[in-house]
Amino acid sequence: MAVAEAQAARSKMRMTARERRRAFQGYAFLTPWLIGFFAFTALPIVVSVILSFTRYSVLRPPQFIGLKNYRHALLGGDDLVWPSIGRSFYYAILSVPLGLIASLTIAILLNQKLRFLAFWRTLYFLPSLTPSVATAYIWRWLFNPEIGVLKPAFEFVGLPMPRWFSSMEWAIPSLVIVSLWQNAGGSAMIIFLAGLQDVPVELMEAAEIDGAGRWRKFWHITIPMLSPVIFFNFIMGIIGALRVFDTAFVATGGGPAYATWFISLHIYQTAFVYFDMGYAAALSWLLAAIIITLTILQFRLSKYWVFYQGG
Amino acid sequence: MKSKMTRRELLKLAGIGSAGAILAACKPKVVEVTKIVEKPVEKVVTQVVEKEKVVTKVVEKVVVKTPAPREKVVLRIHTNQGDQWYGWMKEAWERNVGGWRSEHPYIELKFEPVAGWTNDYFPKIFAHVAAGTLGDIVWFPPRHRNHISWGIEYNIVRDLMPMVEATNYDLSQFFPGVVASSSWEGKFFWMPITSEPSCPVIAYNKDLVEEMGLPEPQNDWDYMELTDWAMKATKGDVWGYHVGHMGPHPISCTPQYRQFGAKMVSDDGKTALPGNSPEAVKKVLQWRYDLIYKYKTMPKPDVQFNVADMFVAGKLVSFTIWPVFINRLPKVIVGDKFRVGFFYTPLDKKGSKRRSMLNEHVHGVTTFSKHPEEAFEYLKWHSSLEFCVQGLLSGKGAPVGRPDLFEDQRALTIFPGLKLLKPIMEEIEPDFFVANFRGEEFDREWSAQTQLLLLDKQGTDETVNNIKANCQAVLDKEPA
Repeated sequence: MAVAEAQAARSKMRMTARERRRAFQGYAFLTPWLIGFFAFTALPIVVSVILSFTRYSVLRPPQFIGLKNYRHALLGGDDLVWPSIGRSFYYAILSVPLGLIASLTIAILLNQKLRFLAFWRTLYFLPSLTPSVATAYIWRWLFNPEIGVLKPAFEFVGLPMPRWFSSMEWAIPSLVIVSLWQNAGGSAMIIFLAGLQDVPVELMEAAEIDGAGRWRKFWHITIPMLSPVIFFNFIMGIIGALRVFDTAFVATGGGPAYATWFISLHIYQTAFVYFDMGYAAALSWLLAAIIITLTILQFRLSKYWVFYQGG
Repeated sequence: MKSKMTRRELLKLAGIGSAGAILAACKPKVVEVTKIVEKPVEKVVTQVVEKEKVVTKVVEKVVVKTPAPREKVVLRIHTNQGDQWYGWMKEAWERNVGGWRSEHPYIELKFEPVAGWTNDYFPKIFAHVAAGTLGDIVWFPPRHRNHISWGIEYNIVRDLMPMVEATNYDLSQFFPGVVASSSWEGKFFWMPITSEPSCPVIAYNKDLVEEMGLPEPQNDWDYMELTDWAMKATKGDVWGYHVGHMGPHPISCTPQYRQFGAKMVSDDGKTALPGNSPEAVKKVLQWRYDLIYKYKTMPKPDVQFNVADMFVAGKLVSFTIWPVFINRLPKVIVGDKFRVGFFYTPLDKKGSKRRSMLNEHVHGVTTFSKHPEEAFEYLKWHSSLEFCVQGLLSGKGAPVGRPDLFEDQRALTIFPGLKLLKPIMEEIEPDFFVANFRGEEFDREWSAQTQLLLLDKQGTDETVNNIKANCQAVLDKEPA
């Protein structure tokens, strides 16, 4: 009996000629992507793990040095590592919550029944399409402490203008402002907008019948219903913020006096200016470990505040 | 008969087509192999020797290798994409400047320009080296003579001295400092394509100075004379003098430290601020700090490097500039707004010898080159007088460190500032030397500490001590 069942199961698993052909076609179409994935994503990931245990300057063959790179980074051999990780966190702590609030606010505004709605949505989305380098240059000019466009505005209201990118205290907040301008109306806002349109109307109507005002509806219905979207944007925001690079690279070059020297800038400098590829790979894995740990932590904490419909 | 293709057939054809395209893309590259055939031929040379009015004719047979009609040689040139390099070289070759192209019809130039700067360029070159696919000529913008490392440490470029000697090429046609910069223990690795002194000149707004009733600045001023003048020039929201392009970075401010007697690194490249250098550096840094906080002739440092904008806007009377701005500032940036004058950066005291530092861009012949003689011919051409003069006239090229260029009338018509730069170039000093070739790291530490001082975050003594300690830590690292 058991043998007969096993044979039946095997014959079920065996593919017909037509199924085989279809599977072959499927794999044939997958192949270009798979080649690209293995050659340009999977292989570099594996190689970077191996390189992180070596001293490698491209011009000479890698030399295995065990955990020396990790020890150097973690045990204070490199004075710039921990301060630059700290700066990246400071940037993330400022930019992510502000970014979420700004994106949600814009999404709520653009979810109203307005005239020229498509125009407004396009207008808010445009900055996110501007290349980061161009954005950084524009803001360098706007923030110029001597002849910047913002200077007369500050003078008009009688406030002293900060020295923005040139000040050690203001450099990171300035980058946060640039990030808000560029990203608040971008993909996070679009996702919020989609989430808002998914909030059941009947819940809102029921709340209205129960006498709930706008604020109570927003706080007790909209926010809980949006919580999965907020959670997604929060995770993506944290990952993006900890990898901040391009605006800082162009606008401040990590200065003044290391004030915007983020960990990604340090990795880049180590790899492509000093060609210490092994150490740069180790730093990259250190950053990856931090991001993965934070993401796992967020998933663990999400059960206390994220509400899934029907979940 | 079927008239339409089924979906399955379409998918099959597309799959086969994709596979074919991938295979075609993976096809090995056809590499053009060129070869020079050299055949020895006999040549009769008649030499006339005159001795004490008695004329003796000596006839001897000398066997000289003369190349037979040559096969085509393709030189692959890795260089920066900027107009100053790739832009002008390509144009000069197409225009047959100096007749070089027609004299070398068998040489074809294949430029492989790289956009961006060294952080884009070096990885590409290193990848070529690792893959064994490097071309014949490479570009380098030296920093603390790290270009020497490509000759003695990494074996990327070859010693040109054997070819210099074999072709009787006269290196004295360049300023001595230019040759010294690319030489190491009797070897000579690079030929110049741009040579200029680091920030030796101050530009000023002539109209504004006249309006303010200030005296014309003088070339022999010391630092306090400049400071006094700058304080008088500072009025309202107009600043009198800004260190400008001289900035906090060693590449641009080395002449000022040298002027006060500092050595940034010992001659062997292993000790930061040797001897009395800390005291000299302190004097320079104190002056810079005082310009902001005591004399108030310039604003706090700005990472945005906006001095030229301030100058054009009439908010700045004078600032130290890179030599290229001698031409660019009046002609391109300021235009008709006001007249621009220039004078030398000050001396530490009256009558002192003016100190300097060479800033340059160079090209070398790679050890990978199969055609080093032809590559060297090309380098000789791009460092020649005619190439440089025409480059300046075209508005693309840059001055090369050769005395005849700095007094060439054609060059002076387009770049009168050459006259101002000539005395400095005649005594130009090479960049200082960082023995482990970690010049960029050295600069980063130096700049960061200087910025902390200028932002009033630490005192002068602390800054100098930190510079010495942090830069020494860089010099103590193993070679890059």
